[in-house]
Amino acid sequence: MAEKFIHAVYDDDDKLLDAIKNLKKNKIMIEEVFTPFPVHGLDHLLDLKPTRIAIAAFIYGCIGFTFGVLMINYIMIVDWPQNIGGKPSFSLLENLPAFVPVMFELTVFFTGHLMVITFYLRSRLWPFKEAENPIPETTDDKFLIQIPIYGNESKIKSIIKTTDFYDLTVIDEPVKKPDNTQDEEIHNFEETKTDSEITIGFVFHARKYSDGSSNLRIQFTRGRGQQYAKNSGLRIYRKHWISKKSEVSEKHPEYEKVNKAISSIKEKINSVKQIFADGKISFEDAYKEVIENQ
Amino acid sequence: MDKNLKKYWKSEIELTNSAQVDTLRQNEFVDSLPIDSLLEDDKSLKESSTNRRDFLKYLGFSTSAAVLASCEGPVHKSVPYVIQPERLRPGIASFYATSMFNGYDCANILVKTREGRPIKIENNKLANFHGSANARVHASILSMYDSARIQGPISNGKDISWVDFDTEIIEKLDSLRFNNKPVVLLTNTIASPTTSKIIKDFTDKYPNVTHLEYDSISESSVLDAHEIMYGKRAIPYYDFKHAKYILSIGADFLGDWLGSNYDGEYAKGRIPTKSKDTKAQMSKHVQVESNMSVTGANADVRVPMKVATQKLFLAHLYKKVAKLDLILPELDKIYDVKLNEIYNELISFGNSALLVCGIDNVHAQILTNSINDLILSKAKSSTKISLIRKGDDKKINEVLTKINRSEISGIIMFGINPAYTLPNPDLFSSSIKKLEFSVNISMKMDETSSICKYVAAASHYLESWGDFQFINGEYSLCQPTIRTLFDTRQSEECLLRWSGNDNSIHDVLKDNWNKNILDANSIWNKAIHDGVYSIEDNFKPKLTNVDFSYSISKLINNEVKNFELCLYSKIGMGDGQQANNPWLQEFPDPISRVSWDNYLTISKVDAKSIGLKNYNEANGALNSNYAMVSLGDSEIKLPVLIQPGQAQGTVGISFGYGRSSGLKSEMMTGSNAFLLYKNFSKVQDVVIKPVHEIHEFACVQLHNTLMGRGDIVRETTLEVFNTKNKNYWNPIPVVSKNHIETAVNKKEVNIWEEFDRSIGHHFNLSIDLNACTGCGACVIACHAENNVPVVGKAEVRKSRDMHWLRIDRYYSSDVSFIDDKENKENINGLSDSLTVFGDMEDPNENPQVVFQPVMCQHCNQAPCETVCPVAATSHGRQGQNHMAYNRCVGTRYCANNCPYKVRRFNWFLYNNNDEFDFNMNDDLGKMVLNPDVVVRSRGVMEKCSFCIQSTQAVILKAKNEGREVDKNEFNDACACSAACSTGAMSFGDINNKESEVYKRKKDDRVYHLLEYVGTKPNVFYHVKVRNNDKLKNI
Amino acid sequence: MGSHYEAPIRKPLVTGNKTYHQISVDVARPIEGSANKQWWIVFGISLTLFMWGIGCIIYTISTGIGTWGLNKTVGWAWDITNFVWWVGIGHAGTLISAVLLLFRQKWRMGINRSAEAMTIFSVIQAGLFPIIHMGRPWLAYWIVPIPNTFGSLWVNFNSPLLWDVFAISTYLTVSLVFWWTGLLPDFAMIRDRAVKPFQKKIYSLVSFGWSGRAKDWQRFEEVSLVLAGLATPLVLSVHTIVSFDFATSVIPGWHTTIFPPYFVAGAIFSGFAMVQTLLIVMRKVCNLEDYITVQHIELMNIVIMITGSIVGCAYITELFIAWYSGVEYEQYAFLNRATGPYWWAYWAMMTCNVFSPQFMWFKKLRTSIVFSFVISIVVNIGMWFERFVIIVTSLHRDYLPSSWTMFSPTFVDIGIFLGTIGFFFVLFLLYARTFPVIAQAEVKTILKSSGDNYKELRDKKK
Repeated sequence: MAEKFIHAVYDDDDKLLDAIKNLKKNKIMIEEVFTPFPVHGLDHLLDLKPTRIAIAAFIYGCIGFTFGVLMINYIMIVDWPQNIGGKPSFSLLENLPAFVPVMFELTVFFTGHLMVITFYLRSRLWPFKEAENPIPETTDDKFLIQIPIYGNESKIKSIIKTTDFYDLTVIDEPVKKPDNTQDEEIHNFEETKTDSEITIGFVFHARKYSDGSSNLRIQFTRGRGQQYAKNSGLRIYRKHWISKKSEVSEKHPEYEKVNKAISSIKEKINSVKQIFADGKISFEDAYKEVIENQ
Repeated sequence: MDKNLKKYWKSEIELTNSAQVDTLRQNEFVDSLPIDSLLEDDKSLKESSTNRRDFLKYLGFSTSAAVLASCEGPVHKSVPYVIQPERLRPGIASFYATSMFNGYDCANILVKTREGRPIKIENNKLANFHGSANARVHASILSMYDSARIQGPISNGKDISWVDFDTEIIEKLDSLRFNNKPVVLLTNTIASPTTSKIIKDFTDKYPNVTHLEYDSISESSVLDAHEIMYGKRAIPYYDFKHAKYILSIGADFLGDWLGSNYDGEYAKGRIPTKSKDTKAQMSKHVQVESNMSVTGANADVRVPMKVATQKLFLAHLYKKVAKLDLILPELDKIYDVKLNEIYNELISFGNSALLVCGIDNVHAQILTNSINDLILSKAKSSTKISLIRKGDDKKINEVLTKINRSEISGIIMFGINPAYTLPNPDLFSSSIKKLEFSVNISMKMDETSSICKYVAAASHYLESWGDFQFINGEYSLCQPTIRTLFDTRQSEECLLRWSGNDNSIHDVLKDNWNKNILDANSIWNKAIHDGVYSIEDNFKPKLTNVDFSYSISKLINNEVKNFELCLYSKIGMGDGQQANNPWLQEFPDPISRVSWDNYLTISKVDAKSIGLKNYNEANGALNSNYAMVSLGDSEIKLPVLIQPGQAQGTVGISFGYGRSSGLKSEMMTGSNAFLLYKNFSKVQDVVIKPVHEIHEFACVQLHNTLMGRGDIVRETTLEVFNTKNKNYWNPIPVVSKNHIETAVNKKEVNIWEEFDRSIGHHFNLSIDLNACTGCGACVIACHAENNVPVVGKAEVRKSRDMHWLRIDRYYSSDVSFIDDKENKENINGLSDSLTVFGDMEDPNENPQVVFQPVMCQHCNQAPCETVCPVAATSHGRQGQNHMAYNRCVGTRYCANNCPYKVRRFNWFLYNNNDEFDFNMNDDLGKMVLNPDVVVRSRGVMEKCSFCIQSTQAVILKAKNEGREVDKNEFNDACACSAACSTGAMSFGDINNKESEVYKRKKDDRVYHLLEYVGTKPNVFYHVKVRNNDKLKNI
Repeated sequence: MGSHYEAPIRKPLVTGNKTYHQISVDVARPIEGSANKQWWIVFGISLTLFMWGIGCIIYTISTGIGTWGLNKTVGWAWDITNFVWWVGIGHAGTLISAVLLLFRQKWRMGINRSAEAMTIFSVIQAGLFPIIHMGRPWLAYWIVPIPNTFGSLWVNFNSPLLWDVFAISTYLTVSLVFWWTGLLPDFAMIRDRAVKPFQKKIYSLVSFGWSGRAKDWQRFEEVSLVLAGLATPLVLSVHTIVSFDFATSVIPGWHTTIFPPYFVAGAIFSGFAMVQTLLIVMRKVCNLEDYITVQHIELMNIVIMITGSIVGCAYITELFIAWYSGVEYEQYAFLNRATGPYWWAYWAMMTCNVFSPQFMWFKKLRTSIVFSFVISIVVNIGMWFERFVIIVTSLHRDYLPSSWTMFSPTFVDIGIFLGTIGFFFVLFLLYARTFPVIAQAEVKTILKSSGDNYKELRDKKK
């Protein structure tokens, strides 16, 4: 298990596939890929073994059928044979036609349910199970490749840089169970109903570094729903953060320096808001104004 | 400040002795309990007797005790006999022979009792005459458990003891005798030797008392005719087993005509029995009548005719038979033709022909008697006469006028209800109220009791002793089958007491029999066991010359201006004595299939002309207009029923309805036809006006015709039956098996291996459509045996009647059913089929009628069993189609899938439910329930079980006695076949080759209902053969 | 882009300039937004109906089936009519998601989620009737194969009603897991977008922690495929078995071998009609016109037209066979249907089910939203009448004329039926507010092949 990871994020499935091809060409090991929808050809590229769940389903079907036959035989023939409408209850075979529907239904019942249960267990899906996608966007429109770094971080980075990537983060911790709140609100900014407004606030990245600090990210929200966050490049100890003032307390190491940086970002934010209101820039590009030359 | 600070004291103690109050005020709140201190020093804890473990023990114990207590089921107390009666084994029914006569119905019967409770009436096979009970007699057992009964003597509306009652009565009687004031003892016909004797003693003691017999529905004309011709006031007895040709002019002898009990003998003659060499013989029955009666429905040929015309017809017939040459008014052409045909046939049959006549006219009866004498009819018994009607209209009228003029000071009545049955009840009541002395010995606070000063609570016949002589020389005994339920007395006992005789009725009866009836070598115990006792006693008529021409002249000059009303009595209600009997109220009339009502029957044509109509509601229920029927000053409003076969110009109303007191409000159905029974004539000249209000009928059969479905009721004529091959008139339906027509009952048609039914008992029920007269005795018997609930008018109206056994009645829509079948088969093309089927929905003006009893057919391949999801209904080893009520969840799938629609669903809770306030809702009424049959709960399906409780009882009996079941022992196990007096139904074990039912199964006429469906029923029917090849309906 | 090629003649199934993100936003909008006035009005009405229905059911169970209009001859009427009607409606959902999946019909993706939801909700309604139509519904558990208290009295596997029990329960549960499995990625999407903590909690609960790993997706697709393969025979079997209730009986008009295919066709027919009804409203209310396009509606109309014609053929065949059988009872049964006391029901059925869908031959009509909506309603009415005709007109005049009678419903019959309609819409409206009503994950997969903007792109390239 590698210590450090690279999360390469892509915003298009084709780009993703190209990137993966690229990485494979360079013998870079890919640990996991998170996608918002089934990307065709992905499993081949990743050389995933074909799943055997269908075989399991078939076996379950056989079990269901056998169960049906045995149950009906026991109930109607063995345990208490009755003369029902003159139908022969001497042997299962004679009276079989009447039993076919139930046998069929039981087969389907067993197959369906047991297979789905198997699927849930194998893919570790159940109520109260925590999600494990590194960044929330992977269920929306982002595709994330998780690459373990075995010392050659720079190489991997360079390869990824060659691909049409969207975002790149280095994490020197294996993916851990994230704490409940993926992104913690700091700027409790009011939701804007209209798309003409933009709100920008600070959020922390879900995962902490080993030293307990975590990336301070800037979240851009427009209207309802359109939202994205960017790394501000600052690593901050969350416990010293004062969300009211949205700056760090004295306890924070070299806090003046940090607060200075934050305030400068704040200025940028205000300016960007203004620029955006004037419609000079698109929502998607808003972050550039803030995080340029960080 | 202190000045205006007032001091309020809460009690005067506070005022006087405030210190004490202060102290109290200080420690108003009690110190907190010293728990801490207790827990702190564990020394005291250790010493304390109850430690934690104990506490847990107690807790455990009390909990478990509570649980145990809650587990205890409800306790039903059953009180054992202090002294176990002899020969009474709980769970084993014992039968007592007895007989009943209530002035209208009479029968020799067996009473089935369980644990001392009479629960069912059965026929007494030992009786030569009147050995079978009709529907009303079967139902009479429920009338004993009637919650509306008087429970003790009442004087001037107050309950008093018998002692006081007797002293008061005797005082009155003595004073009346002393002042020699006339008193009338008005009773129903007394057919009892002992009772007559008691009455005689009574009248001897009180010479001022005159005894008079009164029949609510009078047969005076017949009696008069007999008296005139043969010198005795009696009813001629007809022996139908000698009658090969029966011409009935308005005589409903299968119904209530002369309280007759002729159906058994009649039916025997109706079954065509074929032997190898000889042709099959069966009697021929021609009915000339105005109302459609049960008898008319069974006739081979039925001629609808106004009563006026009937009289003329009779006169003409007499003229022909007597070969007189006198000038008579002409008959209409059609009738004249019929007359000749009928006359020729009648003569051709010689002395095996019989004429019975129901025309309520003495002259008509005279002619009838003489015609029978002229043709030397064997069927008119020369030695036997019937003694069950004696009322004399003339005398009654005299007395009534006396009463109205108050020339009479006292009246004693029993067995009658004149305040209801007289045509002018108001006058009667007012004059009775005026009398200084009026006693009614009655079971009910009926119309008459409510106007009498004294009401003596009478016992039901099942609580009484008595004897009867229905036919001369044929005696019957009546013994109590249960101790009087209430503080009641039978009328004879009252008379005994009042005439100062303290012997019990039992002693008097026994004494009288030993002295006067039993001969030397016959014993009282034997007689009481048999219930019947006959001696050689032949009636010798004193013939007198009668002026027949006078009779004819009296007959022929009668003209009806308006409608000719023919009053009749229904099988269900009779003369209305048992109006409070829910079984009889719910009993559907055999002809109209209407329950809970009487109505004006009218022909289609007349209804149209007056503007009256019947129509069905959205849910199928039958509605009708009302008609106002007025006769002189009295008029009654009642609903109209368009009756196929009703002679044009005539209408019919049945007696027995419109009771107003002494019964539950639910039972106050219909309207009182006695109001139109002016001077005791059943034929009246009435005016009918339509009333445009809607009446809601409760009719159990909403579709009247057979729609040409010839294989449901198979019919043929005697001619065809004798000449043609069985496959012509009774073919077995065929199905295509490998493109070869194969009979459905063949083995190879079956798609699966059948169960072996050849071992052990296998029950079958045979129903002979030739013998079934549709009398309905079986319906009531089934009701009684199987605790079938009564659901009331509203539910019956919704087609939710619960009868397990129904008697379908079909009218032909063409002249005959056979024509219907042909019409249907000759349909070609869609439009034709539409018109033909459309026409087939309406019955003919004078239709053929057929009765078909239908109950669960107990199919060996039952569609109902297959579809029950919970296996609540499955097939029994003995051929029954079982129904496990407590397993049923009530999907009603079985009922839907039953081709015969014999399954009945409990739509509501029918017992202990005030919505259905019938006998299953009060403790008294529940006493009639058969303990062997479960009372079904709401939401379960029920149906005929072939009386499995009884068949099992029979098997067990035989087993205990270490013998095989006797060959026809099962026949009496099934309530319907046991009740059937005509032998139409025969039940038994077809694996017993000797049994009657096995013999019947081998008959050519056998067919199964809807055999082609392949249900293989265990009920089979016999093709109805009609003896009408020459003579046809008009 | 090669992998996403689709013949240019195919009409786009996703219109409007959509990105993946835009799809998420559109699908999430109804859930994140607040309900508008119309929603509350409709919900209020449905809830009232539902309550009224519950009242009627309580009355029935406490008093007895006698409160309905049934009688000794007509033992089933509205109860089983409604049962079959609802089951039939249920079929479209599974059919769309399963059969069309097997046939790789991309256009199913826009509608299958709601169709399946409809399936489940209507099967719930259907399941209600077999229970409450019992005389003793508190003993309903006796129809599951357990021995009774007094020993080994089991259920009767010969009974079509028991087959129903198995068929319906299997159908309901299997459709449910099918539906839910498909929902997981979409729930996950909502979860990851959720801003309000409570919403986040709920959706992370129902999404079972879906993370969208490559392997998960592989299994996911396999499972969907196998389930589709199962659901297809299942959906056919269910209505076949329902038709056995009648086909295996002996009553003329019920005892008909054509019933299984005829019922299945009818089921698809009525099901699509109901989907049509619901979606035409929903696409407007939740502004999903870009995903449920006129193209979708047209395709469904075509299915309706085809199945309607199949049903029509079945009606004719029935009549022919009845005449050809030469059995007088059969012949009369069908004559009585068409011309007897219930002729109006028969002809209502004929008009709604056979004649009305024939309008769909005209492109103008089948692409008109309003007209499609009207027809979809008409068809639903017609299919209700079909079941009424089969059940009541066969029973009320069967073999023995002596037991012929009529049926008319009481207010309880009607109340319970309306109640189930209310219940159905209550469920569906709640669903529309809280569930991703479009299988967005699936739609994203076809965006590039069937989205109109991408199609234009490709066309430009040429």
